Amino acid sequence: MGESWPADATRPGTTSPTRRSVVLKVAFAPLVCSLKPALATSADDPAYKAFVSVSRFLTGRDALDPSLASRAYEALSKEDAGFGRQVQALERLISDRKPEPLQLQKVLDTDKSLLAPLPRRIATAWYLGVVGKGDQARCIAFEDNLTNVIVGDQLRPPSYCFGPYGSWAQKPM
Amino acid sequence: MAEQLSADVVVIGSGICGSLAAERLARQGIPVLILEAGPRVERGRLVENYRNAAFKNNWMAPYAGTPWAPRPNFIPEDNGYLVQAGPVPYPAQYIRVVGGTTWHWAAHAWRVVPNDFRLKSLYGVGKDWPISYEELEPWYYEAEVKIGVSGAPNTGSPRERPFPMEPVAEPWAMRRFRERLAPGGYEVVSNTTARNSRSYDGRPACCGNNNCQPICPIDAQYHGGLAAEAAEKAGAKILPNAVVYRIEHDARGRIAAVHYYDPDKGSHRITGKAFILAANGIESPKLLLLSASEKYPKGVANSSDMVGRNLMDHPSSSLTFEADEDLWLGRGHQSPSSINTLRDGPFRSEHAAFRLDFTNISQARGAAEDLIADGIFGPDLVKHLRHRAARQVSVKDVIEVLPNPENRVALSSKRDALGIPQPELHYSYDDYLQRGMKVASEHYNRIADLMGGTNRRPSKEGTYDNNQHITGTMSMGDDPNTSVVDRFGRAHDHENLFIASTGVMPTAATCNSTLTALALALRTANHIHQTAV
Repeated sequence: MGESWPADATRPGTTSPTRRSVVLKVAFAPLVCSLKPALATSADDPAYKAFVSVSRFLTGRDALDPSLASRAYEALSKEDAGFGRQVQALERLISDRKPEPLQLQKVLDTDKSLLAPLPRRIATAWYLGVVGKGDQARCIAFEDNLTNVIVGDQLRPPSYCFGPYGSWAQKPM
Repeated sequence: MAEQLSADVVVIGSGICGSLAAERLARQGIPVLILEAGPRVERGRLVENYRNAAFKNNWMAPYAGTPWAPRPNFIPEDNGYLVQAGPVPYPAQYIRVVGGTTWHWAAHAWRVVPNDFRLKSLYGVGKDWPISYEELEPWYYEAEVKIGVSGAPNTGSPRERPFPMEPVAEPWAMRRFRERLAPGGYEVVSNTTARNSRSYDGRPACCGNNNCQPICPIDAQYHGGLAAEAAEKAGAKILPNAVVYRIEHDARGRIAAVHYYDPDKGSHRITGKAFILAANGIESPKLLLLSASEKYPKGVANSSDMVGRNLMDHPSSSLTFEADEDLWLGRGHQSPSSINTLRDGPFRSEHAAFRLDFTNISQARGAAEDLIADGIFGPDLVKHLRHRAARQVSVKDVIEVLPNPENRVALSSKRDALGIPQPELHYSYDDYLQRGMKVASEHYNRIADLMGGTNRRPSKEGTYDNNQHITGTMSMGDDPNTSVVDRFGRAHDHENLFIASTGVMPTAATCNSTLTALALALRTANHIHQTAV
């Protein structure tokens, strides 16, 4: 699942030069979502380490893309200055009380914990590539968000070419 | 500083109807000027905007409105451009840019069925059209060739000549619907669409980007941007960022000019011999009402008081469920197949008719949102996401609304940044519609039964999605007392004003409106050439 998507969302053989130049723009348009350079985040930072550990727990994935991890952490911290503290508190709670991932939200809701919004914010950053709400919502990942990665053996991210004409008629593997 | 620009034909609105009417006239050597409220847009930029959007389910997001040409937006919240007077909201979506709203559509290009033209005489409801299917048939064909329509035979609309292209290759998921629903008496057919099943007109065949809405990255489907391009290639001029705010008539009632604002609210006056209003089914009646004068106190073209009235669209209810086999929606184009056999019949005297539509939009993102909202984390999140992405499917109806003069577009007291009144919508659902919705629901459940459907989630009762097929607001008819334009789209009140829009359709019929509006628009352009310039 590590290979890149077909770089251009077109098919070969377009003859119009105008269209080809537009096509190239589509292919190589800066994908701000995915290529924005992550700010330097120290891997030794205890808050960051807690974030990665909690992310593994919430996402159900042990191997997490480090560049997306640092991008998500930066965005979540920017959204809420207390994020680093909160995610460390959440990590402590998980290691102390050892809830199953399916039970975590219920535990937090029952406790009326201030940490209750955190799991959804973190999962949304990883799975949907979105941080923030309403007008403040920002996309930080699209092609490599976990949703698109997890179904990537069967589907391309929308706006990317599935394959040669008619290939979608085949039975899925 | 008022300039004096003019053209033989002045078109208001550069969407697919306005642009292709303009192109037809320009190809016949007639000078045409198109005034477009919004800016030019570029396909690569739109794709980039989509990929960077936070709300991928907001198909308006790549098309940011401008202060001078605002447009409705509802996600993350209603921007309030449309004022809803009720009783039910009418949350229409449309785009104000060069090329208009079909930059983003599912490219459905159906013809109506012949009986759609005679709802009143056959079934005692609605209205009859002033024209017949036979009269429109050659224009349908001209439109289909122009935009490149692919379709399956025997979907209820007779045709003289074959489709320009064969249907787009059927995705696996749709094939399974077709195979499993047939024993239940349901005939699932490939949709008639303006989507290439081979190279056509210098544009490629579909490659399954599954992004038809909000933007096809490769122009495999036709859209208004291509229409605008074609109009300019034929010699028409497009003036973007020109917000027409008044239609000016002379003492005899001929349209003398239109006035527009530029983004700095500088006012400009454009004269012409003939005028085509093609600014969609809401913005067009708004402009007519705005142009009220002493001689025409109810608005231009409105001595019938029908401008803005009889607003219709196609509401949709739906059923989402999980099939008992892996189907993986999202492979191929977004809207490949439907059931077309419920669009006509004696039942139409009792309840609304409809198409049934199967989505092929990828379910993955929606499933992830739902699961996270439900607090599902960990390995189960991965497992359920894959399961739903593989098995979650949905069927919806596209149902006919009857004309009701109380359903209408009016002018609100709210004003946009240029000081122009915003549209106010009055909308409601009647029992004829609700009875149709009930029948559709029964079909959804039978379909789910045939697909081994579990985890059935019907849409909320009484609340329907809108399909942006804005019809009726400037209805055509032979009687000037009850219609706005004649059978050729000419305003009864003004011999040199024509309307090219879904808004001239006197009934909504049971299919997406674009091809019908386009066929009418081409017929109107031909009529203008023969009689008005």
